[in-house]
Amino acid sequence: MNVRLTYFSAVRFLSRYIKKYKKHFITFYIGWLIDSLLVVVMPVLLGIMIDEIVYYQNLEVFLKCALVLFSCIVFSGILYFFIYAQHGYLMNMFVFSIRKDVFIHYQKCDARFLSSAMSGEMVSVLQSYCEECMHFVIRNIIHFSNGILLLCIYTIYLLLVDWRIGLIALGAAIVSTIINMRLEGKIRGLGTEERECYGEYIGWIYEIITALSNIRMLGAQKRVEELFEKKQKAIFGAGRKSEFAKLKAENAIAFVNLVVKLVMYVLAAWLAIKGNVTLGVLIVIFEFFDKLSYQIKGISLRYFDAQTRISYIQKIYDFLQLPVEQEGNGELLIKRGEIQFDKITMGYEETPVLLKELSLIIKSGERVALVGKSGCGKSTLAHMLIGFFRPQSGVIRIDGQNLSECNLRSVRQEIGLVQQDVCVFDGTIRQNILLGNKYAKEKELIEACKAAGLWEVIEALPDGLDTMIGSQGQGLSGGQKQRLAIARIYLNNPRIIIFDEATSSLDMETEQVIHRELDKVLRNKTAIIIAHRQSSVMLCDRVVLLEDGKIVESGKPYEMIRTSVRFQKLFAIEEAGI
Amino acid sequence: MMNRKKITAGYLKYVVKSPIVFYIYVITFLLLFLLMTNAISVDRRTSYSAIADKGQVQIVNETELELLDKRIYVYTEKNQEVLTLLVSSIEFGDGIISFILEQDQDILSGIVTVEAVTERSTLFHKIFSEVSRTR
Amino acid sequence: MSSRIGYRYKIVKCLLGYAAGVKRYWITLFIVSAVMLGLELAAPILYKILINEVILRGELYKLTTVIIGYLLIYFSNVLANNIMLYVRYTLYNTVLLRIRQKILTTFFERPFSEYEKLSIGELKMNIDDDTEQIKDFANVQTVDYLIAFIKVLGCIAILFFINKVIALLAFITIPLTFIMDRVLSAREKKVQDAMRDNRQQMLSWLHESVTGWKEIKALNLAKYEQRRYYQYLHKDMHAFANWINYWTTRVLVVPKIKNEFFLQFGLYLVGGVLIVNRKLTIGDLLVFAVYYSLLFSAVQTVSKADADLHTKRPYIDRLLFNLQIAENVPKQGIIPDESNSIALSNVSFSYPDTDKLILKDFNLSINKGERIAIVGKSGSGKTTLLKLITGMLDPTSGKVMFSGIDLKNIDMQVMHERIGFVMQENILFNTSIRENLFYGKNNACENELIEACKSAGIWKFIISLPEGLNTIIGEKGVKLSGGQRQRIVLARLFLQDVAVYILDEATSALDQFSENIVQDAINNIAKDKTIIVVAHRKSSIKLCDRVVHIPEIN
Repeated sequence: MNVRLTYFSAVRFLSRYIKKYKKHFITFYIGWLIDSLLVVVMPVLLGIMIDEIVYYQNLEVFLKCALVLFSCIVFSGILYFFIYAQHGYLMNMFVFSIRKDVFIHYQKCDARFLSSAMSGEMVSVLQSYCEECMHFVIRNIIHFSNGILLLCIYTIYLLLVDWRIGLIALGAAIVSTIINMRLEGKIRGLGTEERECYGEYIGWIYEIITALSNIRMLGAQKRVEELFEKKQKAIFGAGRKSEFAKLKAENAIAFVNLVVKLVMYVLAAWLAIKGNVTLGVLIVIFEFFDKLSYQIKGISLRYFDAQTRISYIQKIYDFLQLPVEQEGNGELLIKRGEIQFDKITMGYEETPVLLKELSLIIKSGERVALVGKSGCGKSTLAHMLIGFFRPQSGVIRIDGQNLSECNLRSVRQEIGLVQQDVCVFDGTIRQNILLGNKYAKEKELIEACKAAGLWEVIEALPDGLDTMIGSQGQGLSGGQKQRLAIARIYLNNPRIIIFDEATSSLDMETEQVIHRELDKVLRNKTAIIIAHRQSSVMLCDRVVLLEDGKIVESGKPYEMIRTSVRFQKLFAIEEAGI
Repeated sequence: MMNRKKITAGYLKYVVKSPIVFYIYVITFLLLFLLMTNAISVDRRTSYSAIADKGQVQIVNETELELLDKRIYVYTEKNQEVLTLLVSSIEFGDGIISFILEQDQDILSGIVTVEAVTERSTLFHKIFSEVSRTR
Repeated sequence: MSSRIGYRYKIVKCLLGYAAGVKRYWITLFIVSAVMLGLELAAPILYKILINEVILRGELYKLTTVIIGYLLIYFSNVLANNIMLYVRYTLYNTVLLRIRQKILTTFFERPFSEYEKLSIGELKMNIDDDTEQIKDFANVQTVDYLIAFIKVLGCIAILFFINKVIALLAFITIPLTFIMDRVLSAREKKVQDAMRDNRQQMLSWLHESVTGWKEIKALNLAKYEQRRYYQYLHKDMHAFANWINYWTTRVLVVPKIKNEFFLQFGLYLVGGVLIVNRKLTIGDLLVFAVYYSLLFSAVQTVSKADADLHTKRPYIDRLLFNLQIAENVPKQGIIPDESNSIALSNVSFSYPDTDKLILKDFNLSINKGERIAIVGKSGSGKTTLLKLITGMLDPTSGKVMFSGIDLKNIDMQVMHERIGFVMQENILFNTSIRENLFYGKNNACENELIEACKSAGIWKFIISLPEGLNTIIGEKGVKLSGGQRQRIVLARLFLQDVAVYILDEATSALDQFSENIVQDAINNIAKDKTIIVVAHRKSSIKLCDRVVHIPEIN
């Protein structure tokens, strides 16, 4: 589908954002560079100090070197503050600029690509993946290049001390790196089975927790407990396998490192015996050898981290390639509220042809119920009115204006939607309802609540309109949420309303109340109700039945009940009188 | 409270947003480092094969030597024990250089290695160019 | 300090309650760790031999000793690690499983009225995240903690043994860095908490905003959401900038001071002077450095464990609290006999937030084997009646009885095993049809499954599916129509062999066509079973023995 990112193309993708903060990145890099160089110089100094004191008892030079060493330490300590000041700034700003782009793109994104799977991932993308971009730059670009630099310096130094040691060090380094990478790769691969078991378990446990009362009603407790034990044991079993394999690999890595260390000791002993090397030099050799191994380990770790991070960057990149909603330039102005669907054809990937040259005229102030089997396209048709989808051919006209030529802001201002799953935002009830119209006055707000039948509920709450709802606050029942949405739309007061009925069961009592409110709210407006209940159909002036992408029947509700066989079947009506 | 805000604002301006303070800091340190390491003088010692005998240490097959420091370092195994000895005078002759030692110093007899300070170098030099000190 | 030990002890005591049969593993763990500690403390001696004897004195033959020594230590470590891993795994997972099972049981023991209000996230945390903390605790805070403590003491002793002067110098640095660390951690934690709180809020807001994209588009809220996001981010950035300075100091500067300043510079400075004065050999000095490192890391382990415990305390407390509730076994309910009768006596009911009475002084008595139809105007409380019968709601006044026992005193689990429903909204799990049926009867044999499906009238449909009983249904699988779901639920009930069937006939389910599930069910259910139908079709009402009319209350 999209381009697969490699290390270099990922760098190129990020360079757009890096350029914005060029100055800071350079400062940051130089800081680390100097720190790395100091890390090389200090052991050498120490070695000199040791030689002077151990062999030549030269306290004077010893102390002077100590002074230099001391100032180096102090300097690098303070240096860290500078480096991390930049780090903090970049972390904030650099990541912010990426986040901004992603968030805005998400909002502009074409509705076709916004599924529920994506919403789940979106939060991760915005929160973690964007941060990973910064970590990628720091660890996989900056630290990586410094690491390579240090590796070269260490190797060259060792070569200069004694070419034999240098060569062996180089050889050991290369062999060790290869083995480390292999083993590290193995370690990373482990744990997939455990993760899968865990993922499956988590999905299951969420289901169980959500359905606790149902499970009890079912008397299925014992079964659930059995399954619980089984799944937990599966996770443990998989985890144990991977832990043991990981231990094996780690032991192997430790062995490799031990061998390198012993080789170094043997070499050092040989050199010392030959009388060629002083203790000071030895200390430096040990230190550099150590640091060499450390850098090697770092490289193999970073390599694999880079792969993971690149996959995250890939997700960001892929996402930014998604197409944006299309719109026109004009302003939609509704005076009458007349809708015309003219030969609309539309389909998705999964259902290539959903609507076939569908034509429908809805007069101003008319209430139309759209009915049909699930998946027949009634939702899609209605959602086309607010620009979630575009027909492949055909025109939608409102008051004669072509919808695709209007900008989406005006379209969505003039046409309102009440959804199946009402979204309650974090905030007070007041804030939630005011989302319909920010400029509404208190009087209008209360009127909306009364019209939606929400006022009694609000009055019963201790904080009234200022009660916090949403994920942080009070939970609302299904019926209350619907009423909230109705209050919102009441405030919003558009000329055309689309009501996508909830299929989840509200009990009979609540359903009646809602329909009463709906009746009030829909007065004098053109309305399209995507109906699932017979009672909502009765509220409408006309019923339109969709089948196979076309309108097959249309008429007044009472007529349809009596004469239309399809309609009767749909609502399983056989007898009268209930 | 006001001071704190001022400090924060100043910090932001000079440390974070503009790198000037940083560069000044770095360059100051680098200069300081160079200064210090160049100012500190470090002895460079040359080692010779020699014979030690009763108050003097004699180097064979060497004609020229400029001794910069009274102290010489004598040993058979460097890593086992190094004796620091004070020299009172040097005598040259017949391809033999003799270090006459000052009184009352314990001396070994036999074949030894002696290291004498023949040059003065700077610390800077020692760190960066005298990497291989295995001679 | 002592309170920390006391707290640890409390947790360990609680855990031991679940460690029946595996306690010996804990002891093994301790012994093996102690042996490994011994090895770790002995290793630097090899280094000392290397420096002092091999390199400085030229005793090459001792090199072999050193090499063999290191190899021996390595292989002992490998063996010990394997044993430890095995022991740890068995021990911790056994205890963990038992604890989790306990928690699961508590989930099922809550009163029904609580279920709607429960936070799913919190329940998941109880059974998953909180219990995981216990595993971490057992791993890090028990044996490891003790061993680290012993290591500290051992290292101190060794350091003093090597040279008293530098040992004293070294000991100044440890408390110093310790204190610095503490002070900084405390300050850092405050900032970190603020940051984490904000992040949590931002996260849940973000989640809402992202899933509510339809609403946001429809109400033109894009700019508004952007502004809110930037507000959150701004706060976050502020907190982050504050935090990073503390972190830098704590994680980079302080260790640097400890590492380079004291360990290298200070140590070698003082050591060098001592060497000149022949009070110390270089080999000793180098070994000292190694032991000092060990000491420091041990001290850090202890300190980190303490800090960790402090952070995790709320979660562990919560877990202990939940476990304590589990200990309070609820009163055992009375097991109903087989009379399986249902009775409502003078029951009145209104929902908690309203005064409107749904039922007033309602009386009903249903005997075993009766077929009852419940009718009434929509909204008149039929569903409410069903909920009262099954104990999901408590009557405001009056008694509901099953087999003559008041529901308040009855063993709910047994009663629910006897009653089965086919409602409008049915719970089927996102797994295979077979698995779903197993929820009715564990490991029913194939024939039983087929019979049940045939009786429910769903067998033809199942064999038409390519994978038959193994077809996955639900979110990730085949989407079933309302009627098909109901029939599978019915099949499940057949398997379960319930005594009372409650069927709620649909009025607005769209895909039922002319299906009359109730009819099929009634025809296939044995005569000694009670059937309660909330009926909407005349044909269904005709099949019943009795009609109960729910009056509408004004």
